[in-house]
Amino acid sequence: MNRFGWLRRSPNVVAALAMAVVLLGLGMFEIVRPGGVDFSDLTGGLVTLDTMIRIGILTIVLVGMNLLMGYAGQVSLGQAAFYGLGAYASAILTARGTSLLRLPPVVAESWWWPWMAILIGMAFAGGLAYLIGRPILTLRGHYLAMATLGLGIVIYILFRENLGLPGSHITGSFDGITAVPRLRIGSFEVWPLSRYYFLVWACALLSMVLVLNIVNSRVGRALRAIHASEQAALAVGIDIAGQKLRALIVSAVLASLAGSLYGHFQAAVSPKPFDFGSSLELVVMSSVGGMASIWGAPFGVAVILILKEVLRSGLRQVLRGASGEHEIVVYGLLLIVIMIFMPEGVLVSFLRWLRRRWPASETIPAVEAA
Amino acid sequence: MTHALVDASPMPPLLAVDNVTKTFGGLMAIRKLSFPIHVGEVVGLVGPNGAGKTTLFNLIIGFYRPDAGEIRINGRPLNGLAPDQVARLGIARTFQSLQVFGNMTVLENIMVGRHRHARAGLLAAALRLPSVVREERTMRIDALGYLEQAGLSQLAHQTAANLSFGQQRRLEIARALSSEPVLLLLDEPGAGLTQEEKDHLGDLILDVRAAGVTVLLVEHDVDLVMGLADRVLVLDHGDLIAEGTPDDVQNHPQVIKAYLGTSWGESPEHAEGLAVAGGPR
Repeated sequence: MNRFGWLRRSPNVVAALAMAVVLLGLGMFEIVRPGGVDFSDLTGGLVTLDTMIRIGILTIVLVGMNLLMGYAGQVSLGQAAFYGLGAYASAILTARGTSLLRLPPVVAESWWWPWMAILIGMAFAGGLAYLIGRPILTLRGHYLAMATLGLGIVIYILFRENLGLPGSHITGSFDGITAVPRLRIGSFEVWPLSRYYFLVWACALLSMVLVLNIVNSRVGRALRAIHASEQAALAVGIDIAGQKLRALIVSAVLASLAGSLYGHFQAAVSPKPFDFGSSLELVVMSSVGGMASIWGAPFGVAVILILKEVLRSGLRQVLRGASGEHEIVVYGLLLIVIMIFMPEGVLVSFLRWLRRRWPASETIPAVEAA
Repeated sequence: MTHALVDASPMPPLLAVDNVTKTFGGLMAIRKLSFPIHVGEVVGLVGPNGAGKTTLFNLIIGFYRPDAGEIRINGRPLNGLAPDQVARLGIARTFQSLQVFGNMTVLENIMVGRHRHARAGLLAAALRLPSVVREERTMRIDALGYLEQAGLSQLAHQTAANLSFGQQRRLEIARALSSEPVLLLLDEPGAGLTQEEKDHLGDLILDVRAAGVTVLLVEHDVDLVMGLADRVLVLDHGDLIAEGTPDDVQNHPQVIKAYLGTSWGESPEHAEGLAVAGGPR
């Protein structure tokens, strides 16, 4: 009856394709530079390729967090720790491969070792999530928030204080680790930015698709059921602690992947981006994008990153003599406004607005799909 | 069904409550209670408020553990099993205070109900392996069947939170049935329903029974129980004071005493009034 019926039946496929096309287009823009115009010129210098890569990296963290918080209803206040674990695992295993770990050059200098390091980091973060979550998640209530809060602080201090081992150079304390190598595939270096952009967004899109598959599966339904009513979830035979644990592990593994990509992007890691404040900022991004919205994740990151950028550069022009503290006040007020008017996140709210505007439209995706 | 016949068979009863006691800080909620439930029966459990119905219910589903005694399903002791483990043995329940998954569609609610019959794990689901796609497809078809039975097909893609009270109650029963339980526990399914909705509910329970599902019906509305149950258990202050067919029980002297010295079921209004009057104000 409707030639585009499949559009509405499988909105996630459509969204994934649309997103891939847009991202591919933006990436090609940077490579081709039609008429000498490059990517950042499109946005008046506000969004550079560098910003896009940061959005992609944090999207990977958020997608995992949304599974845990938005779908399973379990709050994590220490997600930056898992993010940091990935970054430090990659940095230590690659930049300190020969000096500290005494790896043979055949391994340490091979193109595949950094990729292995990423996987090792993911396995480590997942293992740690298991060890933390296993005892905590059998308890009812918000113990996970407390435990991850503590974990986040401990891990940050371990990074900052060189794991508490003075005299050695493992995490490099405040200065962190420099000379993290670029990623390579054979002899093809995944650098400059225009190449790295594709790698990051391929990972981001892949993690979005994988997590969406989980959300719309038996496991995802079990997680959403737990969120709605633990009693009723038990009554249909769902192993509550086990399912929550799975969501926590997925979120940790994805955060670690993002951390590794961040380390290779900066070519250096230092403790600051993995402190408690960063964990909180991730929660803020998740809320702004919509916690129960996988497609909303990149928008949540983008809104916050761009908002901070605009405030930093723009506030001084509007308000003479504005300082960093004024920035924080305006930032806080804007967050409040966003959460009051878009409690389900920017994407879902936007789709709802479109639906109200054009109620009969066949091409606007269903709000539930976001 | 005459239980004398079933008692004579060598098969253990489907559910055996055996000398179970449960106290809360000195208050004896259930006292040395014993009774069987046999396959295919619809058993009504009635009694004034505070009689121990809810406690018994929570003991069976594994929410409480008995202080003494044992509960067995098909001869297997349940003691020490967690509620989700009990559920996986095939004991399904509904809630007096509605507990539908309001964040999901009606269809998804039923699909969650079929959780224990599906296998898809985390990795297989993430990769959407062909086996997962097949499982999802059959699950969806099965779920639609249960919605049909409950008369909720039209609402399959509605968010469950948007359903009316009566529809949510039916959804809960459909969700419990979709787990293909060996024993279905209904906790006050008539509570808060209009008379018309109660009639609907009665029809649904009769369908369930016709399909061979064993039912334990905890209910305040005496008329509803009398119309549906093969056998009625009457609890009062943690004791089983009467047991038998609805007719037997209604005229049992102790039951009459427990219910303020009046006989049941003389008229619907009367019975309703009794059920309410039985509870503390």
